[in-house]
Amino acid sequence: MGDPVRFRGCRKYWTSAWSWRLLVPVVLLAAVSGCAPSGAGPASAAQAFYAALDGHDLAAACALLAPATIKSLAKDGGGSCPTGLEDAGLAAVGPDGRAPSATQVFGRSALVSLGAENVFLTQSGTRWLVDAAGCTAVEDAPFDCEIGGG
Amino acid sequence: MHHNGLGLFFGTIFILALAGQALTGHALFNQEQVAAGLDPITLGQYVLSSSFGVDVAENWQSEYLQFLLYISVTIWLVQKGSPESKKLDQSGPGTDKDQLVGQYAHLDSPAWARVHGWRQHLYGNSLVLAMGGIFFLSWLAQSVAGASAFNEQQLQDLQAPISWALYVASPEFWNRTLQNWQSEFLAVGSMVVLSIYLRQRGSPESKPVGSSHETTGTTG
Repeated sequence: MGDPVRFRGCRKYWTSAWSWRLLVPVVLLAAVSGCAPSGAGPASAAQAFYAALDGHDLAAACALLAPATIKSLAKDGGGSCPTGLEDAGLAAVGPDGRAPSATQVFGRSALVSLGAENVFLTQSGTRWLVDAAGCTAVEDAPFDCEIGGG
Repeated sequence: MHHNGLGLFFGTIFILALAGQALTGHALFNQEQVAAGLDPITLGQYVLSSSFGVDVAENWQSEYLQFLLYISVTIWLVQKGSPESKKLDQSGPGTDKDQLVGQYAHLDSPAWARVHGWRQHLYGNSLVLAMGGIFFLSWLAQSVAGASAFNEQQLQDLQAPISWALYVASPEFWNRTLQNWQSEFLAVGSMVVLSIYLRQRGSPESKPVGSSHETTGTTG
């Protein structure tokens, strides 16, 4: 599988001057449902998660996780998410890896790359929560993640 | 009202069905959100989502394809005994006299039917062009919204997203497309054949009840 390609140029659908009124709903449908939202939210959430790990603030890191991931870590940590997170041994990305190198957003899901680390996020309300982190790509298979992903 | 009953009826049930699809889809989506411990989304957010978009567009494209094919194929192909067919010796686009164009146009004929050249040609094919245009735009919308919805699911499954080009060559895109096409083709084919032998009194889609099974191109 090649490198993922982000959709570009969605804005043109909004500005195209279709005179045929019948076609407007169809084109709008493609525009609004196909355009990727901004990647700023998920990138910030991923950075905040790794910043909390860097600062050994595991409770703060747990607060940025999706409910299913918290549940999974708490199960592994004897009922405590921070303990489960510590036991998972998720490496901090360090100063060189804090800037997102790529962010892809589709609907309410996102993939953020921070150096060699990949983070999957999901949107809940206005917040972006970490589904899985410490992920590395595996050819023709789901990413291999240190935490999350069941 | 009486003169526009068909248009008003189908316009109304279209709006109601689309609203019902949005409301039930929104409820289903939020059931899954709540089950995952995530906040529910608003109806507006759902209606603008790629999953709603692809579900709407994939049905639209197949319906317009059905009419595009039906309008164009019935120019040339006939079916003995079917009221959906022209008479057996009338296949083809017809003469100017049959079509009431150019010098054969009536006083109340549309303006572009009365003139010659590209405007008459364009107007003479405007129904197929409209249906074809809406079909292709709906199919394009399905591909764009479908790629986004597919990639959203890919990310939820911790898999890499793919490009639009890879999506339109994927089994997911063609499976969504063909499962709609097959049902449309079956419905049209059934109508063509069943209307040879079965009748609906009073409907222009049927032959008169007493017409023979061999009578072609007559509606009641």
